[in-house]
Amino acid sequence: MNRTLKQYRNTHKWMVIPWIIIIIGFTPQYFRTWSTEPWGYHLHALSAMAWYAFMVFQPYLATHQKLQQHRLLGMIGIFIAGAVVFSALSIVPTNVYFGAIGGFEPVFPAAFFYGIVFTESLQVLGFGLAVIMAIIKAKNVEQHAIWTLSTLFFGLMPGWGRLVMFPILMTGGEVPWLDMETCLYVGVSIFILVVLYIGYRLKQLKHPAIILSIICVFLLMFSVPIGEQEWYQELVTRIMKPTVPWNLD
Amino acid sequence: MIIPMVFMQLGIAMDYWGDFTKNSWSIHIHYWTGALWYFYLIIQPYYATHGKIEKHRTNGIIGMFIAGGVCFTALSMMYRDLQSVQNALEFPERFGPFKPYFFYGIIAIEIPMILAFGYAVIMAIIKRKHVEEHAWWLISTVFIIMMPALGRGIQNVFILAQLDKWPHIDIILPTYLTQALIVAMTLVSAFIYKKIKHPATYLAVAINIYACFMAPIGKIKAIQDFFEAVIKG
Repeated sequence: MNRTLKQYRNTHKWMVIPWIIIIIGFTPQYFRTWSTEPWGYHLHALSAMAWYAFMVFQPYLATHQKLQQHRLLGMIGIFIAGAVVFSALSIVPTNVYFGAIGGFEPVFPAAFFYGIVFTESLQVLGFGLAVIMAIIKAKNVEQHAIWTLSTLFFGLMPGWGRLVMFPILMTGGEVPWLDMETCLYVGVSIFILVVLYIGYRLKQLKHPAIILSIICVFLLMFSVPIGEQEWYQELVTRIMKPTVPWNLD
Repeated sequence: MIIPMVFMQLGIAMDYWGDFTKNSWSIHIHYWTGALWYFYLIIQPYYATHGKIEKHRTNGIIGMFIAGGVCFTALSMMYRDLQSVQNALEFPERFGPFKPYFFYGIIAIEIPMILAFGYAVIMAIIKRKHVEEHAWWLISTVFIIMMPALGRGIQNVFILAQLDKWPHIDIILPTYLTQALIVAMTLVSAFIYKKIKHPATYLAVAINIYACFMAPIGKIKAIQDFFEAVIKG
């Protein structure tokens, strides 16, 4: 077994962590309210959960002498990745709607929702780019692995972001120093440190996948200032049109 | 592959480009993933047969990414048909011959159509080492998902030709014509490629014949209730 495959031999075990983060992060606002959630959200959740399942068993197959199965399932995984990206892009305008109705004050201002239309879309595009780079570099094991792994760095923030907002949900936004932006800054900082640590362990700190994903996650901290710009609000409203989530119609 | 692309584009042209700026974001996303898929079905056979097999393989995997997008964006738009049901109930004069059963029927035929598309794509992946099998499964996807685009176009022509009779226009007849046209195209292509008895041909023909039953299926109360319960969430 070559050096890279050895390096990723236990990756499948680590890949269970994102699953746990997603399940916990989405429990209050998705799993607990599952039966009333919009159809578009279900499709995105289904494809994303399938992608994270692929992220568990694909490294296992690749590093446990099951390359044929890894290749076949990998192509089906790419189909799922397309579903993740385009189903995510389809539901972005629901955030324009949340912005248009004034957000959920006092915790989540309208500007936050307008802002994440841009910052989350950037992450979705980053996820798509990482998948396409993983395809292009399919024959270079090291590159293929790091680009595929980076889909986590581009795609985990919706789950992790919700998880780090738990203190606000628990306190009802009544603790003065504990606001949405504080939680976001702490969450983003921890996330970036973890990405840097993984990049360091894999000796890939300067890899474009690591750098790009850090930039995308870092930009999330500017969601509110971006969303406050009136010209930007008008632009996203004109392009995407506010879409009412089905359960609020 | 240019011929089905032209049919599909002509069919959807008025609906999509006619009110381009009014279309919702999800329609844009679905239209462009669909258009890209048809484009792939033009360039991929070219690469495969003109000594560019490496490009064909890499692009093919990227094509699977697009196919996933086509499939899930199509599924995600099913709720729009339920919104049309509500609008048709609320503003019957605006919808004329389009009664609620029509939109329920559309959901009932489009969901199996999308699943059949996904199945054909996955079969093309599984059979990727058997060139003929791989190619025919992919070609069949063109005929499996042609109905929503071509159907709209033919229906629009029918409506415009009988506008003076509104709302007493038969909107189901154009569906039969569309399905007959797609089944004919499928069978002619299958005959040319000697794939009449292939499961992909059976699937494409079956799904398009099934679409002819849109109206009676859409009128079944249990099916209407099922969609309201499941798609509403």
